Parts: sequence; structure tokens; C-alpha cells
Amino acid sequence: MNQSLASNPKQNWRQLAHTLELGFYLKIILILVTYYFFSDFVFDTIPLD
Amino acid sequence: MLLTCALLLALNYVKLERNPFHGRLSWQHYEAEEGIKIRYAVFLLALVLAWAFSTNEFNFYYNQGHYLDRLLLVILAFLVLVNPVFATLFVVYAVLIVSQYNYPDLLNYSWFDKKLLFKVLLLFSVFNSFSLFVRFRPTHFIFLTLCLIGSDYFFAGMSKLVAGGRVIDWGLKNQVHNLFVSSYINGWITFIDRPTLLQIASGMRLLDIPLQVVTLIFELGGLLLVAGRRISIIMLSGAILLHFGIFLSSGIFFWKWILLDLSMIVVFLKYPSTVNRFLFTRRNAILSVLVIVLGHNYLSETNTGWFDTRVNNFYEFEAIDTNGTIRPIARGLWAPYDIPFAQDRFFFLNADKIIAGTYGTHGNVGIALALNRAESVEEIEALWEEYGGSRYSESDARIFDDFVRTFIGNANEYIGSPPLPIPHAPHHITSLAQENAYNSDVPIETVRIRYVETFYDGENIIVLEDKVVREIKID
Repeated sequence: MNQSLASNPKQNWRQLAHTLELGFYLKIILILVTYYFFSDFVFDTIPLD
Repeated sequence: MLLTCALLLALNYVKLERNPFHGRLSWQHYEAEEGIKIRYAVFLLALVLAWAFSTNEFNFYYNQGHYLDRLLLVILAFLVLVNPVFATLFVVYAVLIVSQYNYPDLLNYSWFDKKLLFKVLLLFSVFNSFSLFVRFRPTHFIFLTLCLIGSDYFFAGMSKLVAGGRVIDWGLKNQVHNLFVSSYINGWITFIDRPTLLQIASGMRLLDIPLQVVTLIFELGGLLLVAGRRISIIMLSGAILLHFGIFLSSGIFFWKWILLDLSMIVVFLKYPSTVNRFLFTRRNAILSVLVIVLGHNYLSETNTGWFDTRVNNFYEFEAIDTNGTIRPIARGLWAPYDIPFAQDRFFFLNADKIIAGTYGTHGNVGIALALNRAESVEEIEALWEEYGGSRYSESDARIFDDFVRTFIGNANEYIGSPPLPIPHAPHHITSLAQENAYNSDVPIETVRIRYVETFYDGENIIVLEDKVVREIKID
């Protein structure tokens, strides 16, 4: 295992990210952060223009 | 915003070999993986808001019917079915339309009954825009929608838990039957005669604690909306029943929330295996709790933590018409400003000490309990003197005069030839018109405002004060 980690670290990081479902969490964080700024813009800024 | 949406539509529809975004912003692309026809849930939300704000009453304050805007809003709602990008245009346009009611700002126009639906549509807009670059599943959107819904319910429950000194105070010490009496005083179910109503209220007193505990269960249950399909359906159904209970006892009707809750239940019933596989997972359940709890003040602005007291301080409006006849003005006559007039928080109009908020509510457990313990008028008056406070502001009162003068002055011009009658969607707060209420048959010459204080002693409703505080001449 250690040998394979050392031999192909990039692939193993991908495997780890896949196992931990990092992509899903990143998507959710991306959406939540964008939603925060977008809703602020729509509710507070647009009606004042 | 228009340019951004036009660009998104172009990216989706232009068929070029080098256009990697072709077809990515379409319902087909969005729904392909899981098969959940999410377009109908999003369309339903747009339709609910389009119904509410395209059928709003003529705005006499601006002297405008905004008929073209109403039509465009309905068209945009239906275009949501064609392409999800139109959801963004729809929600921004709807926010603009509703924002007209923010002015004059001293009316404190409430968005509470509708903001959740706007938030869900904004959330969808964000999902949709990112679909150009990232693959999302409908269950991702449903997951965060449940977090938004759950957040509003959960913090409504939490605000009740922290309203008293101890977490059990609201559940055990509040007297929700007082809300029933206050709603009657403010115009709800006035077709029931007073002795019968007071008998019902007396019976309701026995149910105070069970009703409050059930309320807490279903509101705090917002935290569990992703815990499992069955529990989610139970909590959302409970929330719907709660809304109907609130409507029956107070006339406050969260019909927009009910339809949103219902749309989620329908998705769970129609696609049981898909939601079980992709939505109701242990990972999502834990994550939803974290998002809801950590997202306070960010996802939810709900604060419904108050106690229902036996006292009321409110305003009654009267029309003195050109014949000299004096008749009460129904709160619904002020629609589309029906919410601020139903909430009746015009405490800047007079220098008297105010002790309670809308429908006799109070945020301080100690004062609320003291008010509810008092048995005599003398005790109540002593408490009123000690804990009440004046919020009088002549400058605000003058702005309010100007609003009334403009609104009624313009309405007078339509006597005999009213604006296009449009059957409106249900109001958030229903306050029934008195039998002899002014019915727009004769122009109003003066609007008279009476300030009223009442005390419900457990058996009768006693009027402590009833006086004219303002007379506004209409030009």
C-alpha cells in the first residue's frame, strides 16, 4: 500500500478525495457561499437601484 | 441581470462545435441523471408567487395598477417550464415588484410569509448558473432546499425556547388561547358572537400546553428534514397542520409555506427510491444539521419567540365621508398594504404608553407572565404604567399622514369607476370587515384614527382606553 502511494501519489489523492466525497462538499460550499452573496444582492441592492 | 440571463440562454442554445456549454442549462440536462422532474416543483413555487403578486390589489399609494408588470410576471413564471434560466429572471423581477411595498419604510412591510419561497428560487438560480461548469443532481438542490425550510422552522422553534428564562418556559407558561382572543379583537372570526367566542377561548385554555408542545415539536423538527424520507414527510405534514391550526386560531395564513412543504412531500412520494438513494443518506443528514445550525443568521432570519398576553393596544381607522357619515375602515381596504395594517404597529401616532406588540404579544417573559397573572383592571394599569413605553414620533406620524392622504385621495378618484377588479390570492393575515364598514361608495373626507387598549380578564374583554388620536383631512 505504502509502496503504491509512493509510486502513484496523484492517483491516490484522487482516490482519497473520491472516498471522502470531497467533490460533493466543495459543491455544497460553493453553492452556499454564492447563494449568500446573490440573495444579499437581490434583496438589498437591486430594489434600491 | 438581464444581460447575464441572455448570455446564459445563448450559451445554452447556440449550437457551435466549440460551445462546450450547449444544452447544459436545460431541464433535460438537469433531470437526466436521477429522473426527478424538478421543473414542476420550481414552476409551482414561481406560480405561487406569480399568483400572489400578479393579483395584488390596485396600489392607490402610487396610483398604479402595474398591469404590464403583472402580465410579465405570469409570463416569466410559465417560461420557467421552458428553461430554468427564467427562474432567475422571474425571482429578480418578483423581488422588484414586491419591493414597491417597502415604501414608505415606516410601514415596516413584512416579507416573512414569502421570503422563504424567494430564497428557494434564488438558491435554484445559483444551482442553475453553476450547472454550466459543474454537474449537479436535483437531489443536491432538494437537499439545500430542505436546509432552508428546516432552518426557518428550527429557528422559529429555537426562538421560542430562548424567549423565556428557561427552555421550558414558552411550552409550559405561554397562553396561546390569548392569541385567539386577540385575533378576534383584531377582526378574525368576528361572525361568532362574543359570549360563544369567550367560551371557546376558555376551553382552549386547557389545551395551551399540548398545543405549545406540538408547535415546538414540529418547529424544532425542521432540523430533521433530511434525517429520513418518512420522518421528513411526517415533519412537513405536521408543519402543514400547524399552519392550518394557526390559521383557524388567528387568521394568519402561511399558504405559501404550505404549498412549498407540499411540493417536497410530493417529490418524496413520487420518487421514493431515488430520494432514498441520493437524498436521505447518513452523510446528508449530518451535513444538513451542520448547515442549519451553523447557518443561523445566514439562512434564516426567523424570530417568532414571544408570549401571548391578555392585553392589546391597536388602532382603528374610520372614514368620515362627504355625507358626514362615520364608518369603520376594514384593514383589507388598505391592501396591497394589508400586512402592515393587519399588524397595526403604528405606535408612532400617539404619546400613550404601549405595552404589547401585534395581537397582544410581548417578548419579555417576566412582563408577559405578570400581565397574564393580573386579574383586575387596577393591576393591569399599574403594570402598563411601569413597563409600558411611548414610541411617539411626530415626524413619523406626518409621513404616515402623507401616506394615508395619498392612498385615500387617489382611491376617492375611483369612486363609481373602480380599477380593474382582479380576484386576489389569499391575504397572509385575514381581518374581516365590520358589517357597517366603509365600502368605497362615497369619497372619504377625513380619516380618523382611534387608539384602543383592551384587557381580557379570562371571562370578558374590557376596553381600557378608546380615543381619537389623529384626524387626517383628505385633499
